[in-house]
Amino acid sequence: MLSVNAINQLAPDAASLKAGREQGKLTKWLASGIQKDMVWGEIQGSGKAPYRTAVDLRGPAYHCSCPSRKFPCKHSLGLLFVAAEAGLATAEPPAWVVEWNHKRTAAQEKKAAPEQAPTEADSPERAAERELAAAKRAARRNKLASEGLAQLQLWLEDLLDQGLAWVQAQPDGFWQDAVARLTNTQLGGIARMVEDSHHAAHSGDGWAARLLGELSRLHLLCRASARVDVLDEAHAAELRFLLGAAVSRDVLLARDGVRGTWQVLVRIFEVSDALRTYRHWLWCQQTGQLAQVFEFAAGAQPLDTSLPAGATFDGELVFYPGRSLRALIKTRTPTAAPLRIPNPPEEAALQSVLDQATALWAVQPWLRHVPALFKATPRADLGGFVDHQGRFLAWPKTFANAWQLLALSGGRPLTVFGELQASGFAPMTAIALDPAQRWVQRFER
Amino acid sequence: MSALRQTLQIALAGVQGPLPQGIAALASEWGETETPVQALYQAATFLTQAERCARPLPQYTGPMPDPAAAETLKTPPDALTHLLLRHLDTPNSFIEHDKAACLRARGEHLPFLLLPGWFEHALTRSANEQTALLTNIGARGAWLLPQNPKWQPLLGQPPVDALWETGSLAERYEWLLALRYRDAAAGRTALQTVWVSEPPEVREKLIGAITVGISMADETLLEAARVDKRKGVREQARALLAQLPHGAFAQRLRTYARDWIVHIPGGLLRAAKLNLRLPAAYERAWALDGLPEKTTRQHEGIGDKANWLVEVMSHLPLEALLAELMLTPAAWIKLIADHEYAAALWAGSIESFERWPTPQLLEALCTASSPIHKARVQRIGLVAAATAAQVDPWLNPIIDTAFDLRLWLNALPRLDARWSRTLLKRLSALIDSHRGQPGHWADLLPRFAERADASVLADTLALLDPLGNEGAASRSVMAAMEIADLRFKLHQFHPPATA
Repeated sequence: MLSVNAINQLAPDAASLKAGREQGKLTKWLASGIQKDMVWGEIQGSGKAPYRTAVDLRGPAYHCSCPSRKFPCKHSLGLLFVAAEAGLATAEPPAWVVEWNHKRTAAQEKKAAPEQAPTEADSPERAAERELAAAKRAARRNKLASEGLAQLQLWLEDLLDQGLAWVQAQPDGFWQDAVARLTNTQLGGIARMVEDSHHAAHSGDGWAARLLGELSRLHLLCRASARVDVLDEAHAAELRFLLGAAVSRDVLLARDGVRGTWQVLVRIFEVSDALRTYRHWLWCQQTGQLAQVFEFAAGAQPLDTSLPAGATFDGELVFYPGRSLRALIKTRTPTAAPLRIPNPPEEAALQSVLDQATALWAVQPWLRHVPALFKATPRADLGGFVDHQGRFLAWPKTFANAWQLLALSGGRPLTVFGELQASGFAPMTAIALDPAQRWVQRFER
Repeated sequence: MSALRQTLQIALAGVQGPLPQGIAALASEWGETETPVQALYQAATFLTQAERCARPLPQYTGPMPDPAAAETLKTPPDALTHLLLRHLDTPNSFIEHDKAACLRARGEHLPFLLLPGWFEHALTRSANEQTALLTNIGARGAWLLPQNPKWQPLLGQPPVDALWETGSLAERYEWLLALRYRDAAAGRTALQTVWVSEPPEVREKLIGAITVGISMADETLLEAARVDKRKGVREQARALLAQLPHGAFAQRLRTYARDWIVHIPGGLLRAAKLNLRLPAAYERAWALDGLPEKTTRQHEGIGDKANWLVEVMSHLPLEALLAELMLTPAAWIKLIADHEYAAALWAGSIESFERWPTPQLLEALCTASSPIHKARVQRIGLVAAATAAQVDPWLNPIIDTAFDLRLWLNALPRLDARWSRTLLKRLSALIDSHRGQPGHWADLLPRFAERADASVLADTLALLDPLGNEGAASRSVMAAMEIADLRFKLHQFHPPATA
């Protein structure tokens, strides 16, 4: 059964959570029940017929007959709250629940089934046609990207020619135009770097150095990508991935991944135009490997909320090329494995963590953030962490949760996870046991 | 450009140690740069990378403070901890009160993560409330509290001046509030020192802190604020001055009242009479005492001159005015009931009573209210200021006949825990019968959620259940339900003695 905290994390937004809490009263449900990992219920909505809601706790996976575009909807959340707080009576699932479950199982089996014998659609002629079309698409994309990068380089050089003060004085539209040009040439990842430059231009004291840093990284990207063919394979793969070269999901899934019990350390919500993103940092309980898993949703498309901070699952993760630690979940099975405190080895002191980040940035200067997991004591008076070697790492001046960190630590070393960024270290979560050593308290950004 | 290049070159010359190998590998492929701008970018790249990658962390050599002692209080169970952590970022005095009471009764300490928000909230409370709030902070709280200079007032120490000098407006207000709680004179001096140099919006915020520990010593400052350029400052200053019955402001208002209201005692052959000698024309000087030339929206339906009377009366204790006129409350009510200016006299009496209520006045006003214009509104105003013991016997018989949802809602902002559960239950049931007006629920619920006790909350929540899926739940209703739900659940962990 999910805890109330875990249910809170599943809500797609604050409004849904509130509405979900409102539905989380047993008296509101006309019928309800639970059998193993399946919970279901019927609740009177604005329509004539009651809404039918079911949740498979193993995913979790949700089903609701309400018209809401939120996912999970308030009824699904409410049902989970009822199950967690009031408890549900064990019963035989009604036919509609069984039917939904069968459909889901069938769909999953179909997805997992090995490829069938070639059909007419997969005939050699058709395959050749597809290959040709793919090659054409790749060539068109290459051409677009080359043009986009050439334009970007000219633009960057023009900026520096005018001077940084001139750049800072430009209106928002100036940057938005540049971003739009890059997006049109399918260089969305680079467009985000231009947005970072825009932010750096208005980042207060020391903005000139930060802006120059961002622009020079962009310029380096242009120069390096012009020579992608002569770079060694590792650098070239890194660059191609950065420039948006598609990595086939099928090819990735065919590779061997890292197996283990994965624990979600933190889930970060980001919005860019109409694209909403959940960026998850996962930690393998057995190997200590970190991985970054993305979930995207465009427009009104629901965002997969099934990996809240603190969730655990047994599974296999396949890593994308490059050093960003981006990974794809190949297999995933719900597990009852308890949440654990990542206990970084003693050598994972602050300087080692920074050295590892440095090594990454040295060969991949365009990495926006590098994960950092360490054990250190937060010090509010110093504005950062001090580890057992006496090394000091500052948190941002704008960090609002410093006192919560301190309260959680009690003046003792704490396991902290965050991201090292160009602007410094951003703490994201810290984990500690309570005095009774039985409850994991978690600070989250 | 040349200056920038020079800067970069100088900076590059100062870079120590090997440059990151990866960048060197990429750069070796570049060959000669083609233009000065490209050379600059190349230099900037090296510089940025060198700064980011070749930086050892500073070494801290100072002592490490002692960690927190082991907890002696019990840790609350998970379910309660979850409840206590709700509303962590939006402190609400009613919820915090319930949380503190619950923990005290159970002998458990606050969850650690709650401590900083708890201390912030305690800073804005009175000394007595602070003591209650800090009872169950546990060993962790006792360890954390002295570390933040901002929380020093909670330890009985003066607030740190840096906050007053460089803090945000909210921080400065809290600082001043904390100082007023501890030392009202020091708070006044602090405010007086900066009064002239602060912008109007800051003055408007800070003057509110004088409410705490107000005394005649604050009169000079408040008199200066009374003629401030900003309306908000002037209004607050007048409201505060009215709380000083021996101050010059109150004296002036008493003079106006004495000149304008004349009581002619009755005799054997004539009835007592109330003569009003309202001025023929408005005097500009009155504006500084808060008497508007024209009737305000609040007193719509009352003439301009009558409005001057209402404004004067509302800023004077009715009891004192009646003493000067040598009238008992009952006699006063009788005189104004049929007066030409009955509406104005009644409004002034009620507004004054709401500021300075007394049981004798309440009794007189309640028993004599029925023939008066807008009687129901006025009765509700009175009820809000009364205690349960005073109101129950009087209100219970009339609650059904005098029911008007809009009017009752006007009184609800003053709902108080002093009200008896019986009365609140009756009222909630009665209001529920008017549920076709969802906008009113938005007004009503926050009051109930914050004020009512567990028993009433349970009834209210039960009444509201059918609303859940009707789309009528506005944000404020949802927020109120959230508070009500939380308070109700907290009470389940430890029902208060009164329930």
